[in-house]
Amino acid sequence: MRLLPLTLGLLLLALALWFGPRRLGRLASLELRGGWLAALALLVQAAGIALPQLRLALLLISAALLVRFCWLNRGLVGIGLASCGIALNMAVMAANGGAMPIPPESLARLEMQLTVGSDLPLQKSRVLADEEAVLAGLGDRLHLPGALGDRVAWSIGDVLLIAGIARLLAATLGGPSRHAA
Amino acid sequence: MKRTSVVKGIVSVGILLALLLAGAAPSGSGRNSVELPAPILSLVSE
Repeated sequence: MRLLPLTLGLLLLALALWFGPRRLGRLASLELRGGWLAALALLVQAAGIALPQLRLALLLISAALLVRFCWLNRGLVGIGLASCGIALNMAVMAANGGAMPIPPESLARLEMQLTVGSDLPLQKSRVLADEEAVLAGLGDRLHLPGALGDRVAWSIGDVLLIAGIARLLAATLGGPSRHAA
Repeated sequence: MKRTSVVKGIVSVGILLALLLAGAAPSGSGRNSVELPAPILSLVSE
């Protein structure tokens, strides 16, 4: 999925334009601990997409890895916000069998046609009506205004996670070389 | 900028990308193109 790398790239581009491109060098001072935990969590989740019957178990394993990563980096600006976002996403996915619920109305906006209960191809989402989903309000139902809103549906957890990472990057590029909360 | 600093910066961005990919779960349409607004489209087609 190219959407999230694109989001991070645009975020970096915006911050580089705001603070000046030379400040990108400060990314080297960002001391994230346990980076392998985040990478492993990603691999485990990818395995969950390939093995739907193990999706919930693999989601819980990846959630544990992400909790450990966030705990190790809890002193960094923005990680608290990002952790809240991850927790909301993991909670709603765990409550729905390991998949992120997306209501048919949001799916229609994306101009996709899938039956209720089916998974979106190569994604973490599953089409579930609000009355069938647990914690439906935390599912993928937020759309950007305009044409971009017809391309992606976000969850509240996604927004918080991106905001947390944006805050961390802004503090890294805009502040002194070390950033404690 | 030293090469080690560049590598450190790239590793940091890579970790954040892994965090984003593992923690976020947006639903995408899978379409790669964005339709141009009609006025721009008419200019291009002329």
